Amino acid sequence: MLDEKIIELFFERSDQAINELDNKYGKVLHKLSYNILNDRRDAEECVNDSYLGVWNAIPPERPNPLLTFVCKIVRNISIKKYHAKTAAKRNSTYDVAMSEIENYIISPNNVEEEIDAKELAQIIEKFLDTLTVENRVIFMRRYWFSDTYKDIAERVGITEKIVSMRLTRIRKQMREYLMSKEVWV
Amino acid sequence: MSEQLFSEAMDELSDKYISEAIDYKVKKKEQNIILWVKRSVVAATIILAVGFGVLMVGDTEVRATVWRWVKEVYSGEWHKFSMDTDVKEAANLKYELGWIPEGMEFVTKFDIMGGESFIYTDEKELVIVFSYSTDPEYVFYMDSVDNIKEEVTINGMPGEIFITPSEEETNTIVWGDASIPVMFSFTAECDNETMIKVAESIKVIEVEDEE
Repeated sequence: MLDEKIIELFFERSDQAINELDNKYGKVLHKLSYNILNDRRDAEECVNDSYLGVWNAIPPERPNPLLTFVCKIVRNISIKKYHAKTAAKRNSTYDVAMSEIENYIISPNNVEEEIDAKELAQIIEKFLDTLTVENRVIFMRRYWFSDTYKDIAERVGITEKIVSMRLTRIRKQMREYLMSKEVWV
Repeated sequence: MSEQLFSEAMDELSDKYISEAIDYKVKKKEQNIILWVKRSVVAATIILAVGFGVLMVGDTEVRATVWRWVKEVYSGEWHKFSMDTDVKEAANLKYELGWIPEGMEFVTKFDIMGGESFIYTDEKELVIVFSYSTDPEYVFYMDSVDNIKEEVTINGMPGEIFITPSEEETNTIVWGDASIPVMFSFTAECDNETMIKVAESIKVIEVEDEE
């Protein structure tokens, strides 16, 4: 079913809207949540909570594209749940991705950062604009979607090894870019 | 900066980056990897032999004419070799290796655009791959991350040898003559001398008269 039609169902307050949304994007959304939580039941719960969030948001929202909108909700809810489960053992792809990036974002001088998330996002966006489309997608798939190297390799049509090397380079580039923007001080 | 701040910043990114990552899927025909050889399977390095006009995704950063070949580097990681030649048709020539390192045995061969690829392996499952093409539109892609490049001459033909610093990858020589036209590639986990010795052993095995 077309996204527009699904959105219309939300506007009509039809229960079918969630069914259609789940039919079309459920698999992608579950994977995104699972990548963060590493727990199928938790992922299921988050996706269902996200559907409720979408239900509450549409109307008045009429998101385009719909999948991006729902992915953002799923990621947000999943990360909140992830942080709520701090005592639990962390071994999700999200953990691995964040530990990868850790060495490239921690200030060497432990200077208290004054930058906020929105400001940092703008800088990251400018950095992303310097990358090729392919490298940008690799970065986003890893650090936004928490995809595995294997998933990224399949999507982009390169090997896992190349994905790994690309990400290493991108992280280095990002570190240099952030430093050039004095994000560290 | 903490991981949490980074993660929160990622949440704030414009939808366009998320949508791009959702929508991006490399076209099938762009995935023209004919062979990817790894040590765990059979050895390491690789040969990518693809048709003309099939481009890897990525901006061309360097373009240089090399021995009348056009070589391009994609994102600093892929070398693309093609022949800058006035010849319009493939030469009716076939080639094979005249010498291979001891212990190596022929496994299989398959057709590629205007030529053939040959695979040999040994008891240790190391692999060597030899390919050639006489099609003027043939394009050769090579993964060249961190490789050290040296210029070589093989049987009077100019070429380049790429030496990998990793033990898990293989070295590659690419050489040829655009006037024939022909392009060769040879990939193996061998030292330079052996690589060149194998490359120099190549011989024409068949010349067909077009008439």
